Amino acid sequence: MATPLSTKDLRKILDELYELDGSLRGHEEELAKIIRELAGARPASTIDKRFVKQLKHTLTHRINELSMSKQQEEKRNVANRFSFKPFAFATGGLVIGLLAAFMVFKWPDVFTSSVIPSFDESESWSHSAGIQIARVGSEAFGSISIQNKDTGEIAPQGFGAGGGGGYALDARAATEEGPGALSSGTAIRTPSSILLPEYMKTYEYVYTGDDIVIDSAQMDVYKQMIGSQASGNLNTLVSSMDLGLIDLGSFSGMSVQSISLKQDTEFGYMVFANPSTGDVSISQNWEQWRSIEPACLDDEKCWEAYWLKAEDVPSDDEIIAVADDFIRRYNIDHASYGAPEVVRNWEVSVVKERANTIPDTIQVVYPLMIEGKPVYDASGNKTGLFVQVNLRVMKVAYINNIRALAYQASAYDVITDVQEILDQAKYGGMYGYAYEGAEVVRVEIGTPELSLVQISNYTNGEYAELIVPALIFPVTGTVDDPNFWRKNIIVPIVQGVMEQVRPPVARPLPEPVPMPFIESESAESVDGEMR
Amino acid sequence: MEYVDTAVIKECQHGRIERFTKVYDAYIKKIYNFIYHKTMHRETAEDLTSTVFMKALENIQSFDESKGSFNAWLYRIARNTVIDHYRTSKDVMDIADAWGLSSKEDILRNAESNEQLERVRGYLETLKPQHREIIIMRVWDQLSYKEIADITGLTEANCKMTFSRAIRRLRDELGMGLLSIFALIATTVWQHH
Repeated sequence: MATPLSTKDLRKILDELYELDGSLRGHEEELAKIIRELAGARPASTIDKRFVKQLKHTLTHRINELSMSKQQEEKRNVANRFSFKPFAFATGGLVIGLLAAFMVFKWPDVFTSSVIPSFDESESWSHSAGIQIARVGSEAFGSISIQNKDTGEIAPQGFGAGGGGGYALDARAATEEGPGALSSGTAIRTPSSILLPEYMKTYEYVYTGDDIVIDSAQMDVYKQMIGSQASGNLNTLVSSMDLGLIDLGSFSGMSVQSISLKQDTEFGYMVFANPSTGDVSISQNWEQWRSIEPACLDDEKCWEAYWLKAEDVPSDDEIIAVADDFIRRYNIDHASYGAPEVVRNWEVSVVKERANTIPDTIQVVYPLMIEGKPVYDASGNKTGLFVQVNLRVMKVAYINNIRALAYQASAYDVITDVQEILDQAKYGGMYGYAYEGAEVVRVEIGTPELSLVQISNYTNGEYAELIVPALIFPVTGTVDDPNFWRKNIIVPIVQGVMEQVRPPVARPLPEPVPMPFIESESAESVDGEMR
Repeated sequence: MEYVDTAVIKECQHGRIERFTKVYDAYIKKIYNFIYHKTMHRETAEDLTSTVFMKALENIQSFDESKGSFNAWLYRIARNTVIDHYRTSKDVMDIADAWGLSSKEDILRNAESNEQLERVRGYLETLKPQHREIIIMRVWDQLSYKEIADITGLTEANCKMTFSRAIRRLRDELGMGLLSIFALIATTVWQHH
């Protein structure tokens, strides 16, 4: 029925009454009973979870509309839209600031050439929280699959994408063999004569969440645009430079591929910029960070004392404050990214493996947000702008993935059959795997979030980075396995992406094809489909 | 008490409207309950809750921290939405009576016994609407007097006094008989769901 009033809340209400009328103290027992029963009469109002989801979906849709309509009012000038300013520079001694001043003030056009290709003006442009999105026709990027259909090869997997760390053994064989293949990832085939080590386990994910509703038959897939003519003005500049020693202008057809800069001050940085792709990264200039290196040489005790311990790790807020401060100070554009989160993968080694060392740098991720949804990588971690904070000096040591964000969006059919999605989640979803004959460990997963996952799509020899809608199932169960670290199970829901997914191995996989010169008995006994 | 960081609200106001989902996650149950306590009808509460969040999303720019908390701002929208609902309802002629009472039609659909229904209505109607509203907000929604004051536009002292008087009245005039009626309301709603 109703939620009982806590003693603390009851006390508070009574005390408030006595403040007004002290004479009521003499009736405390009676008053307490009245208030308790009033609270007890509170009607139970269990909210319908389906309603909560539906309303959130409706709001998200409206949020997207509002974002787009607001941005569409902005000036649609491509050059201004993208002027190779993934970060703008504040004043200061940092060399990147000098670069900015050099480029922006002396040759204002240098960095105003677009780093994104010229889009057809008929394309529908929108600008979602700093991201340039050009809407194109349906299924404009062709078929999407994690696997290369032409060669049968699987796109490179992130190491350890699987629940237990994942070893991509004989992946091609497994996927080619059909019935034995698992997920878009891997069925790890091992000869039956080999006893699997204890740590090689198959994880089966058991869904315990709420009902899933996929209420849209089509959703957007995003393709990152990488310009090929981006550095045109910069190339012109370089070709006009006569350094005295050599006349760069004498080389025809030369283009600028990268820029690197170094700051020679204490705790200085190095900046790497690729004008053709719009990527920028910043890293510590090692020569200027040597003061924090220990002079331990071969002294083990010295090293032991040097390593950071778990208790040396500052709070997330403190780490994030360092990252935020750096981003603010150098005016790095992070409008397209969500609230920062400290990546705590290091805890796996510390807590589960009982290791006693902590890395010197800890990563903070500012998740890339596209139209209100965070983007995950194939391993189920949020991806975006990565900032590494050095804990010893509490300074930013690296930033990568500062990039010009320009995408095309194209609608694709999505899987609306929830059971099909759950079947894929059961064995780890994207890049899930199983070891034939290994111990099966069941892990609970909860209600998924409809979000996006970044995949590498290899089709017809062409590489493209795509961001596709996916359900992100949080791992809710606990697993007593030091090798298990997955936080989420990712199931891309675009039709075709997971079409290589098949149910788990229900029978032993065939033995490997025998070497041609061996007429082994085992070869004759295997399933004919191997021949 | 704020249930969402004010930084999130500011982000919403400064172009990152997608952060509004954080607001939604933090408040959906609270706002739904707040409305349900005033309508006693699930579908109506869902409709009005949807309206509240849509209004909040569309008008988030108008929230001014210097004029009060976000909490109070959102609950005010909810309160006004319920009032608007009753204002357009044929069954409730007096807007002051909207609080704490659902329309006769709603209650009829929720209660198993019309006889019980009539008794509930009879007792509830003995309370002044303002008293009823403040009791519900303080005891059921567990809002502080400051929050109740911000939401209703009354002073905090006035809210405290009103609550005190209502409790006194319950004790002095009606005794425990009324309480059994409150329990009855909850029982009938519970059984319905």
